[in-house]
Amino acid sequence: MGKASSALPQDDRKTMLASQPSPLITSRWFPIDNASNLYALARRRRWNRVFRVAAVLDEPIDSDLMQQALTDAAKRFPSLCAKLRDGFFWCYLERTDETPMLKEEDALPFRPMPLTRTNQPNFRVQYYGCRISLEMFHAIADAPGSFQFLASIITRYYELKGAEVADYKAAFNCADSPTALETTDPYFETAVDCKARNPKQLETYYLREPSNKRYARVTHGVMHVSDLKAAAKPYGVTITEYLSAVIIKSYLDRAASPVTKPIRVSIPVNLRRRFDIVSARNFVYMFDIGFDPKGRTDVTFEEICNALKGQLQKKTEKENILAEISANVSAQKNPLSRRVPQPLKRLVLKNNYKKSQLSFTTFLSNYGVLELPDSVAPHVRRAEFVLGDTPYQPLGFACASIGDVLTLSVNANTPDMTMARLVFRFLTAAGVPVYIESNFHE
Amino acid sequence: MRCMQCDVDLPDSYHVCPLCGEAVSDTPNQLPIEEAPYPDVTQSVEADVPAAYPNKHVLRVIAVLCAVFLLIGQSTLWTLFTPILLGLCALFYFVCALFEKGKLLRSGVCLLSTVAVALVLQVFGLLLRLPMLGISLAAAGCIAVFVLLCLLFPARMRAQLQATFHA
Ligand SMILES: [Zn+2]
Repeated sequence: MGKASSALPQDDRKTMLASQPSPLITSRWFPIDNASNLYALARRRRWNRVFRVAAVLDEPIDSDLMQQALTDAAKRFPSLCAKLRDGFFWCYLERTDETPMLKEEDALPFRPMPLTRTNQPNFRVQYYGCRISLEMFHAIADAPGSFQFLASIITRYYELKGAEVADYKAAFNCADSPTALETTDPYFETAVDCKARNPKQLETYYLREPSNKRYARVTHGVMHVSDLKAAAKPYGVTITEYLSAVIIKSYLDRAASPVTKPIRVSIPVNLRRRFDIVSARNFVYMFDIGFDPKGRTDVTFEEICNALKGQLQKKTEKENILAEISANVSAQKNPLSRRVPQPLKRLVLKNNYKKSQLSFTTFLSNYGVLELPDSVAPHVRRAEFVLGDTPYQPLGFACASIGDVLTLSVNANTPDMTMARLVFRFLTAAGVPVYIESNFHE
Repeated sequence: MRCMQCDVDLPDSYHVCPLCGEAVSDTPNQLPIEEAPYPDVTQSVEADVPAAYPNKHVLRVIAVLCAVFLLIGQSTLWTLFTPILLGLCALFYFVCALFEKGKLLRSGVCLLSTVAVALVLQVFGLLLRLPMLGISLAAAGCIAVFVLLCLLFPARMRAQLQATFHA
């Protein structure tokens, strides 16, 4: 990033980067993006922030062909084929030369991933039967970036099988070369100069669930988008708001005593479309929407929906997003914080991470619709998105859809299924038929 | 299959509802969705992540200690002592790792690298005409630390040693 180029207006600079080849094709090391510092520095020996995206195909996967598709797609995403390195001041990423290996799934999801002491990239691609899954370390990419990668692998797989693809949609064409815009830090590209802020912990209803670190219980609820839309329509809310309201209502129904603090649901927002950036790295920002029952026990679902309506839209106005990400970028650019050795930064950021995690009750991540090329889409039965647990949040909700099929996945590292049961029972009672599948069943 | 308690569809292979634990009922599903099973595992296999390896840090500490003693030492005696002592220290490492077969190569690398560090320090000392007593003291200290660690935590030391040279 030379001085002359950063002096360009942002839009011109984006156009320029989009037309240039990615410098990662030749460079071995590259900086970690602004949001990932948190994931890299807050990691623990037996835990790192990992999430999982998966797709269920209409036939069992041919592993040799899928390995070839993975190899081809990996070349298209140089920023993903990297591993974390601890530097003196910051963590950074190092390109790995090894081809990512496709493995047959033989363990529970979200088992800890070797990050620094490995030659494999910091993600894991596995297959089992018809399901192809990608578990990604959050410092490498976010869910939309990972879905792009997964879509590209699947599209390449069908291309190798002879399918013709005209419009790649969410997938990337493996024959193209990566652009500089895709692999640059999108937060730095969009941020404007402003003052850094200290994160503060919000007052939130927080339920400490018993958790087991060796345990990932994933429950998928498959439903039709049209049914869900029909259920949300009377309340005039979006699907994300509706599902948040269902989760908040379930927390209220579950609570043994009246809830006096606001129940907050943290929702990551994909910023790619807002800022017109095609990125294969992280470019999301977490916002939260919430409802304060103020100790009442007679809260109706409609009341929650009315409270949530428009909250996310207001928070995610472009100026607000820009202010948030600019503050974070300024904190990273701060000359003082830059000179602090990484182990000290870790202490501060671990605490910041804890604060941010305790500022909301649970996560709900809605990827939206996975758009695949027309010749590939009929072969993919459903898309799945599962959030890994964190040391403070053993429960997470995430959903993704393909066509009219939406999969709401609940991941918990606790055997207690109360929350999942309440959420899915609420949906079926609201007239949304749900099909349940779990990795733990008899 | 359906769970009548939760009013949800379930795959045909399920006997019990994963949400509520009740037995399922043999009623046709509402949604035409095919099962996509997960592998049948209930216990996570031990992670691919190697255990922590403070030994790497211990080696760094040795190097720093050696440098410090090198600078403050007083005597020019025992020139040969340093490599021999450091070599012995590495040998202890080596013997430690012998408990686990198949790790011989890594242990060999460990041995050689430690001796190499000792030799480099020796040459450094000779070139700068600095006294050797400091190094010898440092080496003796290191051995004491290692012996103590190995005696106190034989299993953990072995595991950490393997992790240190984990490919
Ligand atoms: Zn049930």
